[in-house]
Amino acid sequence: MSTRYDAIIIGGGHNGLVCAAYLAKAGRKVLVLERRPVLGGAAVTEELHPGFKYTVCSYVVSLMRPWIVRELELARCGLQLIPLECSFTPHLEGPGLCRWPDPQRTREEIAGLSVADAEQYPRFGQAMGRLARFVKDVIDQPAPDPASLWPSDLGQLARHARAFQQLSSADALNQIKLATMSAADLLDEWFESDALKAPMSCSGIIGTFLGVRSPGTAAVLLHHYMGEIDGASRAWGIARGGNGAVSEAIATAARGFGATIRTQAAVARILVRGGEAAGVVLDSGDEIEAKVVVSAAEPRLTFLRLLGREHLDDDFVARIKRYRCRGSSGKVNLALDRLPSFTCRPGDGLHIRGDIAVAPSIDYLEEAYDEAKYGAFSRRPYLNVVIPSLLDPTLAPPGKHVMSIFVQYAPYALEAGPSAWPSQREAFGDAVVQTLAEYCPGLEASILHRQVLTPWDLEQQFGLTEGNIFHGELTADQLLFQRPLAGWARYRSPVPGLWMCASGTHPGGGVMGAPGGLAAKAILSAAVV
Amino acid sequence: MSDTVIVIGAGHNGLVAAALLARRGLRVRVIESRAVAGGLCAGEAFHPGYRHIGVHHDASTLRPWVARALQLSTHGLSLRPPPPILVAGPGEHEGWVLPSLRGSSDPTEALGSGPEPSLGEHQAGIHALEALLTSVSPVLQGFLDNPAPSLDLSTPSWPVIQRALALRGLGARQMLELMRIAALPVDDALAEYIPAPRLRAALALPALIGAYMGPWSPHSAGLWLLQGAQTASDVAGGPAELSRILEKVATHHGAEILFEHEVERIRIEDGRVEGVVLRGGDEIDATVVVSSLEPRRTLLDLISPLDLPVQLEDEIRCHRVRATSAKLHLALSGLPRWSSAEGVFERIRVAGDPASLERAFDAAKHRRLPAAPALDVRVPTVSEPGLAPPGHHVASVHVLGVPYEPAGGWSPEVRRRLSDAALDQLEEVAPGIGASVVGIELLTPPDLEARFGISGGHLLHGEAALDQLWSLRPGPLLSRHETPIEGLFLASGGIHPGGGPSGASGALAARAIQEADQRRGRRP
Repeated sequence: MSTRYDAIIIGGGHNGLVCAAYLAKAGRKVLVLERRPVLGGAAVTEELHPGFKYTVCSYVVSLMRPWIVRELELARCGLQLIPLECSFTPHLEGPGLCRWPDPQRTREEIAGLSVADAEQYPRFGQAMGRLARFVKDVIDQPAPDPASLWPSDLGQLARHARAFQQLSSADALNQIKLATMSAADLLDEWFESDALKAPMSCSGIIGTFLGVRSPGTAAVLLHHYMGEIDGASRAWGIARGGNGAVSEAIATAARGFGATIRTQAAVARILVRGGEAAGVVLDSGDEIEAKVVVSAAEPRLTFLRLLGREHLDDDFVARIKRYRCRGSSGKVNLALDRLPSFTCRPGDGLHIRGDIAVAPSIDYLEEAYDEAKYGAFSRRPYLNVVIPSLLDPTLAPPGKHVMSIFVQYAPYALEAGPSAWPSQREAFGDAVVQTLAEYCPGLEASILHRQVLTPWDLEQQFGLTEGNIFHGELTADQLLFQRPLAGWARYRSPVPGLWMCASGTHPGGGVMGAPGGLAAKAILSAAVV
Repeated sequence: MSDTVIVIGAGHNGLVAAALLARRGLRVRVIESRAVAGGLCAGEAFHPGYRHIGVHHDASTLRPWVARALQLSTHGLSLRPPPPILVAGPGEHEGWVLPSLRGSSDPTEALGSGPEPSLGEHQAGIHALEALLTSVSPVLQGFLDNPAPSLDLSTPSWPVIQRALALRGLGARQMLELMRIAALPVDDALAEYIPAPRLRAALALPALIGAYMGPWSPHSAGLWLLQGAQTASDVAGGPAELSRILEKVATHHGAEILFEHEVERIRIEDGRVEGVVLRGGDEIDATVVVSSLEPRRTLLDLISPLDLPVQLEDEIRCHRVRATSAKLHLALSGLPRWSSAEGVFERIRVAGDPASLERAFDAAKHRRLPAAPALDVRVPTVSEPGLAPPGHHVASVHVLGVPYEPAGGWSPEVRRRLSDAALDQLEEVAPGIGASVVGIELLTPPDLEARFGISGGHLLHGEAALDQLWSLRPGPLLSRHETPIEGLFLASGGIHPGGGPSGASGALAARAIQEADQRRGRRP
């Protein structure tokens, strides 16, 4: 018990590290405790097969807030982002669809499906871009609180209301529609080609246990238009060195500001004294004291396991138990002997240097969801494939490649219960590889190593409750002032001294760092440390 | 003739608008293509000797302020508490008797009779749901009973501020709770109160009629709350009796109803309504035309594309009208005997559990027939024995999980498979009912579309969804009943506030006409 810290951060994921960096930068004495041997949480790079580095869980970067990159000087700490410029959707028949970095080429490609859609496509992008600017303002600030009567909160609400008012009527209408409609219905209003709408609709369902026809999924479409890399919007990218490099860069920044980071230091519970958080107890039994404890773990894990319901009132416990975290996705990482070749567009080329979506039709995606609703993984899942080694050769030996496959749907709650996952893991991996192999024959034979992560594995290995990649579903009932719960959306918790800083708080999941940054700012302005 | 107002369609909304306008002294002519008034609410013979009480079989959605405005009670409207609902299960101890959860009741309603609710251990949960509905209903009714505000954002809108203040008036906690629950899937919201899955499915079912949603779709809880808030007292005699009374009131105030006349086209000159052209070529001049037809039909079929501003066309083409239910009318030689409860029931729900209700929606979504359709049943002969020969009965059934058209189309064989699937569901909870069927009428969505002129066969003139409500029903240009075409007003359920037999859209349209007249300084 030699040192007493100002703040202990539970969990060395990207949000925990961002929060630590900001607190350390402000001169506070900060300790980050990470259970696993590697930092990064769900943003990690691991060499699971000699010479092949997997970007294990999260695999793209787009929403990383530019103010965080700037203020923490992440570029100087080694962060390099490489844009993903193409979106390719292979088809079993015909040439498939590729959306290119060159708008004219994209237009010609879409015109092959529908001339009207080719005209609409840039207009849709412009409309979404305008709305994304409005929404960015919301995600870069703490959530507005409609129930508060504090002048500062009312002022913030009024500012958002004025910004909304300044949208044109058409944009305001689209904003309302985005917040309420399903991705498929919204795209139906703009486009006629199913082959175009299907891959566009996918960004509405990623990480959510909903289908493209479920109301509310249109909101997440905006994410595609909010990405910012080096100031250029509408771009997704990968980090050189995999997503673990994002975490490494933030950790380097945090250390540079004086934060201490310990790995293989699992927190058993949060220490409470006199009704206030006073530190943590490690699995080893060691106690470490701090003025504040900031949890970067998912909220249900934080309150029900690390804190304990005896420190909370019954109403809060009932509400946090209702917080919805249904996992819906899995991940398959492959080490490949050679580059895959798609039947509809054979060979290497720009088209496979972006993201590749197996999403041939809206009905295909909806059937995949329908199958999962009743407790089975989709036999024909939606896949989002990236081959990061094409953009970053350091990830695999020369001529060889790593492939990251995001898979939906894989429900946490299988019909036989989540613990049945280990016995279904390989069957799930087979379904994924077989689905993809239909589009690129010979894939199976080129696989040198395969890692299959089910929602159960994501929970066991990364502490993601029910395997939900966003620390809780991104649905309207748990966003903004309701994330994770109404009344507790400002990073505080009912126990004085205990704060939250990860994706289970506003503005939610994705590798954006905003919850960590906003939490640190809230802690500093509350002057508790 | 310039003072003539033409109302197209004599459904509940058309009749309400006609009655209110005629009462103001306007010359009102209602043009109805069928031989009876009431539209989807008309009671009709469907088998020799058997009548139903409307394709809609529940009139408890009638808005009390509409009934008061037209003094319907002095014209014979009799209100009563909605009859309890049997949640039917296959076994003796697998049923419950539910009270109707509703946002308000009319103090003048007659006392009810019939079976007492029996909820067993779910009593407390149902009471808590009732309490929730009671507390949020006044706010939701404020949305339903007032005109939808303009979405023109350049000036602060008093109605929007008013609704926001009403919401705030619930208190911080209840306001936040309403905002949370409204976004949930209805099954998740109900699960916070009711642990029994089958009871939840039965509670959820009516909110899904007219929604392109299953119980696991987000926002369906919002629709459930709205429906509860809209449900008040039951009208004795159901929609059929409501239609009869509205027809009487409209003619009492001087409106003239032209039956079996069909409007072919609305005449528009220079962006202004001039009258209508009837099928057969007759023309009627009018400065005001109120259409209570489903809005896609009004705008896309009755108006020449040359007269329709492109923004209106864009708006109405985005209005979604995908039906997910069919209607079945059964003539029965005896009273159904429900295996899960003793007694005589007028309202019965056969919903299975939430998963089977969701599977029914999956079927509609993927254009298949449902293996186990969910059923909302009414046996109107329980309170109105005159609808069938002595001792015989009528069952009116909403069949959920039905696509507009299954892949492969509606052959006689496919139609039979659907009615068989519904009858199998009934047989499971009322053994012997199949043998008592002496007549069947099945109305698939295309049948409903052909008979009643509703696009997509959609009973609510457009899907219920959060983005098709209020100022967005059907869109910002048309939701205020007055249209950018001068003299053309819309009074359908496809316009705010939507819903079933409520009369509200007709009444708000009549109000919009009066306000337009006042604005132009024409009439008091």
